Amino acid sequence: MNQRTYRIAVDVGGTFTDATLCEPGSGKLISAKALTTPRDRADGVLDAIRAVLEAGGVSPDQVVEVVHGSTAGTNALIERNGARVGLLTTEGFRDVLEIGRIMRPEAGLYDFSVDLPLPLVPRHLRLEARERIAADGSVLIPLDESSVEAVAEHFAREKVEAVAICFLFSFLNPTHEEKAAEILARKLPGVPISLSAHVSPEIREYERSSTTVMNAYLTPIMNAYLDKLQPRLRDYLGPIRLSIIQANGGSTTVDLARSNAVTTVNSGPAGGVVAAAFYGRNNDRDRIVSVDMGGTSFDIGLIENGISKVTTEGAFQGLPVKIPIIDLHIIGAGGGSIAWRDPGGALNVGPYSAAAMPGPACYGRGGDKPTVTDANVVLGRLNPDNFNAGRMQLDADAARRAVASLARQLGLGLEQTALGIIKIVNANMVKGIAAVTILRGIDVRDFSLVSFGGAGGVHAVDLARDLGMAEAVIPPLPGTFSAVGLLVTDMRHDYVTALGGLPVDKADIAALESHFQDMEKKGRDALTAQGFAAKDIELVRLADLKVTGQTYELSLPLPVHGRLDKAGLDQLIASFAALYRECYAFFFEGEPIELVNLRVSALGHNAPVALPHPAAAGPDPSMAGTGQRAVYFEETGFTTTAVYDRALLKPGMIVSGPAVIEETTSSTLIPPGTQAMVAADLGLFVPLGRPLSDPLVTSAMGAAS
Amino acid sequence: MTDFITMQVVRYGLEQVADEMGYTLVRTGRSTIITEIKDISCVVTDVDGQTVAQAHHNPSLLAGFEITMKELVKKYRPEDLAPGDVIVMNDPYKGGQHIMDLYAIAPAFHDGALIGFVGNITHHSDLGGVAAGGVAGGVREIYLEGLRLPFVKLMKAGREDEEIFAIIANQIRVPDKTLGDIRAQVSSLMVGTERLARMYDRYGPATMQQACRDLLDYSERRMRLGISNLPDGTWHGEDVIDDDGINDRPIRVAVDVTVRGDEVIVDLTGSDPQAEGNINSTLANTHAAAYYVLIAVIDPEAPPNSGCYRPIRVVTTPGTIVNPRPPGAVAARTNTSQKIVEAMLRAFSQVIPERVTAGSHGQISTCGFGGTDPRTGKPFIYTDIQGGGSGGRPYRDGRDGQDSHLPRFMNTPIEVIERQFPIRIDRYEFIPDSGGAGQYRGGMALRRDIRILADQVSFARYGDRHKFAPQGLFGGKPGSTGAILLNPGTPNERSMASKGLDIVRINDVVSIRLPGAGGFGSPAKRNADLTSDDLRNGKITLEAAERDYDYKPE
Repeated sequence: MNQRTYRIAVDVGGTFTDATLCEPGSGKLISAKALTTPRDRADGVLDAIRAVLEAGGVSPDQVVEVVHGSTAGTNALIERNGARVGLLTTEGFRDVLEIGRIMRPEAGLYDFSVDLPLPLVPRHLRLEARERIAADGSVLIPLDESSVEAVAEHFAREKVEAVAICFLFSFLNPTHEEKAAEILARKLPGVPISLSAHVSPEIREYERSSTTVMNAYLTPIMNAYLDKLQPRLRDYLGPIRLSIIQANGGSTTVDLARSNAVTTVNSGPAGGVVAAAFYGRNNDRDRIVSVDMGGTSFDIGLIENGISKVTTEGAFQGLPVKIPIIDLHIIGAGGGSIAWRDPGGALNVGPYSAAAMPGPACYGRGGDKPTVTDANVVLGRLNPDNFNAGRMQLDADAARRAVASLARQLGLGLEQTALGIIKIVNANMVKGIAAVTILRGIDVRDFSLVSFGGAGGVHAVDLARDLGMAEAVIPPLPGTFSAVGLLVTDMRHDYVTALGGLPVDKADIAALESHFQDMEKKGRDALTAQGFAAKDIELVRLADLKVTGQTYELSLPLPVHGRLDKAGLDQLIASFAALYRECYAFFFEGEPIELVNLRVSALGHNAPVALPHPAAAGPDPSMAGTGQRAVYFEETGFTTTAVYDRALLKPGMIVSGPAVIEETTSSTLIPPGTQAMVAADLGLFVPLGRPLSDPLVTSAMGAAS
Repeated sequence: MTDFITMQVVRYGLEQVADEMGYTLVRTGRSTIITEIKDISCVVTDVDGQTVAQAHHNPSLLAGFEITMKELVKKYRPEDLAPGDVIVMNDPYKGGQHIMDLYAIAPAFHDGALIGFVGNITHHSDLGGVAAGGVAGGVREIYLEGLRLPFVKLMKAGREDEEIFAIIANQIRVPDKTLGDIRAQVSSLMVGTERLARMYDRYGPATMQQACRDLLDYSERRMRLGISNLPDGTWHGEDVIDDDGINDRPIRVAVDVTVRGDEVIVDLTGSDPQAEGNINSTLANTHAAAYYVLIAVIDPEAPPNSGCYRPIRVVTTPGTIVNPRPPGAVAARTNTSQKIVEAMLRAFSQVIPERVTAGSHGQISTCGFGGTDPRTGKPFIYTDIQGGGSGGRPYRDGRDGQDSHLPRFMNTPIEVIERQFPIRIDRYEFIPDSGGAGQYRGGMALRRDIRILADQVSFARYGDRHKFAPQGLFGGKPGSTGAILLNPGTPNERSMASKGLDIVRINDVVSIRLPGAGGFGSPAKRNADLTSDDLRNGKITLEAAERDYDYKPE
């Protein structure tokens, strides 16, 4: 019998399901693809695993773990085909979920037709219990159990498939929610129940309800999917560990994924951010903006101090979720974004997308609207004969026709129009990146832009330059880079204790310490039960603080490790003041400060993954050259540009712009005046405004030079 | 001109500057009216004070910058201004809205030259006056409405003017909150000036200035194009305000909208004379209403800047409800400007019925509670603003219980209110049958029951539509009227006026019921499935279904 040592990541995308196998010891990665099977996605998962085992010559009984990025939750939310949920609220408040925050969406500022998304539970399935917890957590009106029993009967009649409970102030006192859950569970056997005090124990009733309801909405979907997948994996692979990736960037167990289904939404893009953080760590970069540009969307993530930025003010499909999730900003910009002239004569790109069908005009599938991809073809930046590893022939004439028709409307030349499309989509992306960086007071000048996804490479250097960033980085295998995140991520469990706004000078330090220890114990016990050795368990303490009277908190890790004491608390306060000043320009000394929440993130570290470091070569890249073609640049017009095959590049080579580097699933544009250094792990590093001798530049070359 | 591409790139950059200012203000503000309700707006202007970009917050506050900035550049020559200066102003007769809305404006410099201004406007929870919250109805003179500041340099070259801060502190009830909010406005401006200068570094002054001019021309061109697609003609619309909080008689807002070629004239001269109570709409507020409707029906996607306003002429008579003379009081002005919106939509319904909505709740019910918190012995001010129904649309039901038209804001979470103030919320819900029947139903009204947990609390408010309901269109029925009930369902129940100032006592319950909205089109044309859905969801009662929609129970 073989020893089980191989780990496999499986990422389900819209078209393909990717599987990546990690060889133990060497850390070598092998990828394979299968078609995604929308009717039963487990089929595609099994197909992809079979394919990758075959490609790696590995037998099923050598596999120890499958890390799975499931889109079951995300899809159910997009398609609105989740469970029929019943919501139980405090008497007088069943409409909180639908009233929301009463503000119409920004796009509806002047446009009467724009609406907020409908709530996941219609009014007739939102019922009330007689009870009330006061603002200090004390019981004002005891729970009337008969009112809950009446609700249970109604839910049973209505055949609800899941129940959410959200009572006011349950984050300070969960007893009423817990008692109501007991009663409902008795009357509704087999129906999963989500409690707001468990799913999202934080202040703000609407956001907490929204999160809890979403969890209930997705629980039966997640259960059904895992019920299908688990036995099939067991039959094929034997007793493996199945981990599910979460939107917080960590993985979790199947059991926890079943009870916290909301945490799995949008976990795929989160994997990309984790991969970028990992890649940065390997190359001594701890400040990164990660961008994933595909056909329809552009996902932006932020990494500071090597840690992916996490938010508790996020939203999925326009519905707020108050749980820690990787702070991803997703905008509708991609290769398929359509360019159009508006009534005032200006050129716009997106938000409409040609998507995969009909796709850009150059796909020759009936699309005739000019897209970003078409503009890249017109400018010679994409090679019509070598797109997607030559599996797809692009129709350059169709691209030119589409862009030319727009050029006539604008009264501009063909190339000028194509370049305009690129500049505007770039400006959109720059604005999107600024929203998660500059808007949060983060100066991006010392950050690296790590770009992946099929469409990213032709834009990455321009974006980084426009933002004044230090460098653009295109890691190896940008097309399947997200899967790397699934392999390198930690098992992660987040815990929160709400303090409801406790002035720091009144804080009982021993009580704070005991809250932290309680959460740490939960995390340690969970990870130990999941098979993590003590040395692989990391417990991170965080605190959310705010200035008294303000209502938004800043979350920060405790600056001092170990037992909390007076000095540690003082340092936390000083760190808060510094962070506050950084974010908002001013901090008035002597302001009273409050503790809002204490948090613990419990991390279980997996075996390290290492990207291979092939043998280095000299700086001359000519052996990787495949020829040259004319590529259009703003300053120089059509310019003779060298073309390289990425698969032939060796560590240590330096590619000087103008150049195009082509590979199976992507192309990278090296504009004039810039240079790409091939790193030890075959990543492409393009330093901007820095001499090649700068330590930041040379560090990635490490073993290569 | 610059090319359209540079113009668009600069536009996104300027919008980003305005967005960052708004973000900073919300994050650093102290009062829930800023941090939760978000009753703020931010702009970037050129050196002439023309708005080139706005943060998308509150349309009623934005147009106010037009008049204010014209006055400001008249008063301050470039040599009177230095980096780090901050000028504040809240005079309704100098382009301001009402006393509670404080404008803060900072000049922005690049290489020592003035390049424009950044500004924000914030609804404060208190700037003095007859009642906490500044929202008492039935007030006769502007002098009773709070501290009226002319243009004043609050910061000089980055230093606070302590004397002016001290004057303000003396006039207000909870200085630490309000001064904190004013400092949040300052922080937001400092972020704005820094970011704008950075854009000038990046693109150079010549390109920036040209791109700003192009942006204004571009919006103007879009508006003119949209207007010229309408037939020439004049259409009339009207609406009424219940009363002015002092005299029990309705006040009329009347408008003639004329389209001539690529221009629009909004003639409000037929409106009633200035009122004794404080529902008078200042010029800035009246203009904001006219601009809002025209952008909405002509081209809602045009970048909203001063260029949009060029083809629009607003005509008013001084001394009327839409252009009062001092010392007329103005705090409740939004009840009038929302009626301007309604009257204009009614006028446009005669020519572009597919682009209007039926009557919305058409008011802004703002309530201010002030007193002493028995838990801390400290004064408190709680401001509550709620949405009502939005009018039925030519293609869909109206939005239920949301802000509509001029204001755009959020409610305050119940848990945040109860943690901060001696207040408990007993109910927060939709009111069945409040949306007017129609092929497309009017939006539903909200009810919020507020229990007072301190004694001797002042309850100031202004609202409207307690007497005259939001109107339906094309056969749609009117929406419900609003009401304020004290201690509903008890022997002490009594109805309270929509505008006023009272003292409420510990354990009193103030039940605020907002107006609904009118339906669009005849109810006979409503899809039966929508009626059954509404019935099942308790949005309409069986009685109403049978009466309005000829519904037959199975």
